[in-house]
Amino acid sequence: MASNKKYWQSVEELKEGSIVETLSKNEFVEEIPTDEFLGDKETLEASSTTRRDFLKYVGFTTAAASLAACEGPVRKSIPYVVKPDDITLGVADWYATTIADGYDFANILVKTREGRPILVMPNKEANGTTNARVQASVLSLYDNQLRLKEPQNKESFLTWNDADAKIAKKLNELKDANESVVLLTGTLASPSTEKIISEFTTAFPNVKHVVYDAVSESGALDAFEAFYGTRSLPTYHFDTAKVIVSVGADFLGDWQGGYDKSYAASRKPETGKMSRHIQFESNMTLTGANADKRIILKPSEQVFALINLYNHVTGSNLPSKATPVDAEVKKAANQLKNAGANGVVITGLNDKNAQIIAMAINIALQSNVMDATTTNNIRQGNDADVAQLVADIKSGKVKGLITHNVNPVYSLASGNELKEQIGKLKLSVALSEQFDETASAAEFALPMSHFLESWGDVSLTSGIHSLVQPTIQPLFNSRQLQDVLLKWSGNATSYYDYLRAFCASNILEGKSWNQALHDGTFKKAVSNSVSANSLDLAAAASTLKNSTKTSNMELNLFTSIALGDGKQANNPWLQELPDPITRASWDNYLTMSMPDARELGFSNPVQDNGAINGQYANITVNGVTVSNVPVMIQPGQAKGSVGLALGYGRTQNLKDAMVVGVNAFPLYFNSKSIQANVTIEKTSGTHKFACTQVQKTIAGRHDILKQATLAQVTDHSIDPKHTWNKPAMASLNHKEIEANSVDLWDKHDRSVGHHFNLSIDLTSCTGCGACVVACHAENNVPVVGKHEVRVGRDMHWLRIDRYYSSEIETREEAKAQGLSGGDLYEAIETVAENPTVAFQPMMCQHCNHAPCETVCPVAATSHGRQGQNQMAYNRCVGTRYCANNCPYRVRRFNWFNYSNNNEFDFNMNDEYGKMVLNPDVVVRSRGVMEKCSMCIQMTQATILKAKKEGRKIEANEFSTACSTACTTGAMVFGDVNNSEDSVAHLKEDKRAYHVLDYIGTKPNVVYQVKVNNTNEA
Amino acid sequence: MSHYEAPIREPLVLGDKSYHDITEDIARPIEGKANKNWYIAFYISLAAMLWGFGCIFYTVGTGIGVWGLNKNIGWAWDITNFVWWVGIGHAGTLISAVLLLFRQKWRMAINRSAEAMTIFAVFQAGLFPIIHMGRPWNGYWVLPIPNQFGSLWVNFNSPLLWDVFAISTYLSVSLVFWWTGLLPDFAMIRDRAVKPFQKKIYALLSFGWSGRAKDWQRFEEVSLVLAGLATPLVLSVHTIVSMDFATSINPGWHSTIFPPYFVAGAIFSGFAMVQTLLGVMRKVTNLENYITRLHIEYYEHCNYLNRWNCCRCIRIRIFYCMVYGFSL
Repeated sequence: MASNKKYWQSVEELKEGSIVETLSKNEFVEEIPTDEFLGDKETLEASSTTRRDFLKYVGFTTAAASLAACEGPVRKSIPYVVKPDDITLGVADWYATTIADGYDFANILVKTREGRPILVMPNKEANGTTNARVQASVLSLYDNQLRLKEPQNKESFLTWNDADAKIAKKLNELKDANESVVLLTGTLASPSTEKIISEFTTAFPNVKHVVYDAVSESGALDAFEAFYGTRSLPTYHFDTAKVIVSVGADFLGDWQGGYDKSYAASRKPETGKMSRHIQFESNMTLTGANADKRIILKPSEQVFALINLYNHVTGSNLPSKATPVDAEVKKAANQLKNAGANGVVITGLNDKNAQIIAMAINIALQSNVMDATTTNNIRQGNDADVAQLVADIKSGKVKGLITHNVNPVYSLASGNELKEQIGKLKLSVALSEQFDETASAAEFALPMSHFLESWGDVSLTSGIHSLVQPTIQPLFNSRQLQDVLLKWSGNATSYYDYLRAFCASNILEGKSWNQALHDGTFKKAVSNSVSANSLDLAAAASTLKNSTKTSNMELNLFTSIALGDGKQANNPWLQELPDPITRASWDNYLTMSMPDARELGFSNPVQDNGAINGQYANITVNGVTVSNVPVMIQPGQAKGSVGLALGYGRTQNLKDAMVVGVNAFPLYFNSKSIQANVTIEKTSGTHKFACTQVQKTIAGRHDILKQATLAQVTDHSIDPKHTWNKPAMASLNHKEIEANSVDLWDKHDRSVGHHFNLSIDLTSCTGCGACVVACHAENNVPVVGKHEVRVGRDMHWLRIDRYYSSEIETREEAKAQGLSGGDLYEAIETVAENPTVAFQPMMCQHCNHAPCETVCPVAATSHGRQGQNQMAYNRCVGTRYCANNCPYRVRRFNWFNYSNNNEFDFNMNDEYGKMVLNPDVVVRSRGVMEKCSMCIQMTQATILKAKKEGRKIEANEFSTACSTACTTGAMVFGDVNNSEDSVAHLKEDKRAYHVLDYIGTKPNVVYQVKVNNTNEA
Repeated sequence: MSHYEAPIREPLVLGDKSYHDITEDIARPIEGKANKNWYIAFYISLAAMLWGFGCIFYTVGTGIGVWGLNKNIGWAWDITNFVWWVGIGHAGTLISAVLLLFRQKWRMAINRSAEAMTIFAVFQAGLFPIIHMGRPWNGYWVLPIPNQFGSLWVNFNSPLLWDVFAISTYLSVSLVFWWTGLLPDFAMIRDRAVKPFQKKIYALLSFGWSGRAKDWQRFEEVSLVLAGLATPLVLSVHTIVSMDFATSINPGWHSTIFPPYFVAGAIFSGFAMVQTLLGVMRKVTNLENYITRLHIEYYEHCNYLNRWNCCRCIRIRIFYCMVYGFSL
């Protein structure tokens, strides 16, 4: 909760110019002629105040007093004078567009209501995927706090014309003096923008364009260039992979943009075709958590494991060193060799030579998975150029800097130095969406439009051109980069016209612009085949070997699922999104292995309110210290290494509540995520984590999460019901029968109408959290802040539980090993050093026999005809009995008013932030219970649409926010009464099970057993 | 001594009092000015009450979030207090009803105070379920009253609703019992009152009690009938309260031991509370001759039984935990 407590009696008082405020200052708007009737007798006789007047005054004062006391909110709503043709009030419009913010790139669909974008979903027809940040990007549009609103020259505001004139004058001066200016942008991947930039640099030959990625993939780009001559990234078709070996590449996270969709496509156990995924890593990443085999390895040893892997696969003898896991490396090499062209090796080491070795293995395997023909354009940053730029600015060689949507002051290791030097430049312009660290350091800060306010084109991979279209008028006085550059180059055309002309002549091949805009993408055939140069791998390996520093403690920087490179650090949805592994939100922290923590004296004591605490450490690398980093003990972290997420610790112009974590970028030397020679020193103080899941094993309750091996699932000779998917049993007349088949209550006829079910495939679910944010956006789920999350009051309707499992999981297993008493519990509770991880999305299970429904005294929660467990907010009196009786713990209570409350100063307390609210879903008041509704507003809309169009509902037409957002297809929603719906079959699948089925709740959410491929052949 | 007592028994009233003496002594705290001790006790209670009102005001004004509850722990001190106060309230009924049925004359010394404590304890108990609601201003929705919200009605499946009925039944029976017992005393004060207004008030409260033999006969009959009605309530009220937990499916709550456990615990703590209050009261109002050490001794005999019962419940629970493991 934010401080600055303000006491008030009614919500109205918080608004300026409201009637209550007026009345409180001046109760009587008109002068009341009190003299007339309170004066002496003569005046009274002469008074014009009659009895009727007196009654009027009494009436007015009574009315004024009651007005001042009542809480009737006044909302300004202005109707359309002329309604736009394409807007029907109450009906959403969807637009295909593309996000390309320099870090996240995706083909998306944007839902708009009455002209406001309110939801981002993947454009599945254009193969779009969304992660949590893409989902949340719609809220960053309405970021009233951090976004730049007007052109600024230091503290003073300018008009665009003034700004253009002043900057043009300076640019021309620099041009005349032939002094170097650099245009620093993030990865744009936009063909038309590249053309505009080239025109700009033609007009101003002293301007050089440098591409800078805050989190760099430069090594891979350089390696690809060495092999294939062009500086780009290959694409990976994981869907065709049989064996995936990843050395420190978090490809389900942000590695080269993420590959969760095609990865999940390769893991379909029912077809028997399931890839085997081996992960060598030091941090516990999302990718490692999903791997079939996760091998812990210190960062420096990953380098040698990679070279050894090459040696084993090809039989050559590149210079390397032995690692503790060479046996595993050899096994992995054998599996790769067996997989042949269906094997792939990737590495997350941002080093040219390491990437060369990894690509060389793929080339040696003749891997189909790595596709060098179709290039991936979403990372183009060049570390060498950026390093040169920093040096040039320092030496005074570069006199001018124009940045566009990059924040090097924050995200460069030498950011603080850069900040001073920017002040000394002759010209510094920040073209920026946000008034961030760089924009405040620059002389001119010019507001850029959000991608939802912009036109544009993006080529994510070669051959696919995506279009960006605005979904709302710019909220602030902003422009886009392209318009600005066109103007500065002296080109009077608007970017929209330029883009249309550009697309018509270069991309569309005569096809319709409108169609391409409607589809969001336009595909072009890519014909050029490429062949790899042969490189001196021995030299690469020996350079790699010599440059790899080994030390007792190493640091592995990573990007968190929630914040990525930190661009959206002021986004409350993302801050509140728990990390999939640690389940901590609103924070970054050093992840440390248990042995290291024991040695250095760190612990994570659990408090009596269920929250966990931590201690602080100072971490020093190359003489640079980041102080007071809280330490989180992470099972599965390599001993001798610590992890730290980038993207946190931003301060400039962020809301107080969002200033969380520490900035790890000062340790990101040379854009290398791996740093050696790390010293960690314990300091004083206690850190309070906001962690939603205490780190424990599942302690015997193995029926919450079921896992099986691929061999078991594909072996049709064994009956899953007796082996890996045992249903709960009950005793009826002394006979063991399935618990599901007995019933205390009379059955309802559920065969008529719709009956909604949601199937969640635990094999496909990677735990990415996109569904959690989608649920936030669709259902107006409030953000409650760090303290409230810490004390267990997060409002997420949908959470993703993370379960670790260790060698000894159950009491029986422990007993079998001869453990008893205290040892038994210790053995169960001590998580093994390298646990296996499983994710389980958990939301209201919509039980057909719902325990919550029977206990509500006022029947505020009741069962719907379509299977939903419904929650009537208006009827709820807030006894919380339903939440107490929910075995799945999915009900969320409004402990406070989370909207229009300064104590919760997030988007629901901001006129701009409120624009993201979904008008179809009510904003709950305090004192009522809420929970997943199975997006009843979406199912009803689907039903109404079909009804209006006079047709039957098509197969798989129903969807929820989470199932739409799920890019891996783990969540499938539909009507089980429609035999053509996928979910009807999934419900009967042999992998299907209900969580806690022995309670007899008969949920409408069905889970599919998680399958691991343990085949080592 | 104007009343026959068996010489082998210790006297129930000390000091060889006549009826008049008794009347004088009993009426003194009401008729006279309150003494210093009374004021000390009163101001302590008043401070506690104002503190309580402040807390309620803060809770209702800001939200239940001011308490330390969370998504997993939906109830804490609110329902604990509710259960505790209902439990405290048990002693009154037990002393007045059960001991009456067993013809325990020593109950006379304490039953009125115990019943009064019951009434106030049940009021207190009723307070907590109301303020624990997220929206207490809608608390009346739990009552099955005809309404204009459409066809909305309460959910008779909910143990919380059973509580509503149990508590209101208990309150009304206790209140009637208390009042019935008070009738002769009100009449006595009425007869002694000198100021006309006081006389009028006490006349109203005493329902026209005249002290005739017929009045006393009816008094005895009604007391007996009410005692018969109230005795099952001793068991039922806390049994129903325990069903809030016992009928839920939470591990640790879902347990058939709860009803006897709750009842035994309630009687135990109710007795203890009566004793605590009486210990103070007999000193403050100078009633040592009427609430004697003998009464307390008898009272303790009952409490030994309770204590044994209660401990047995706890032992059973520990045994269950040992047998079924930590999941209970």
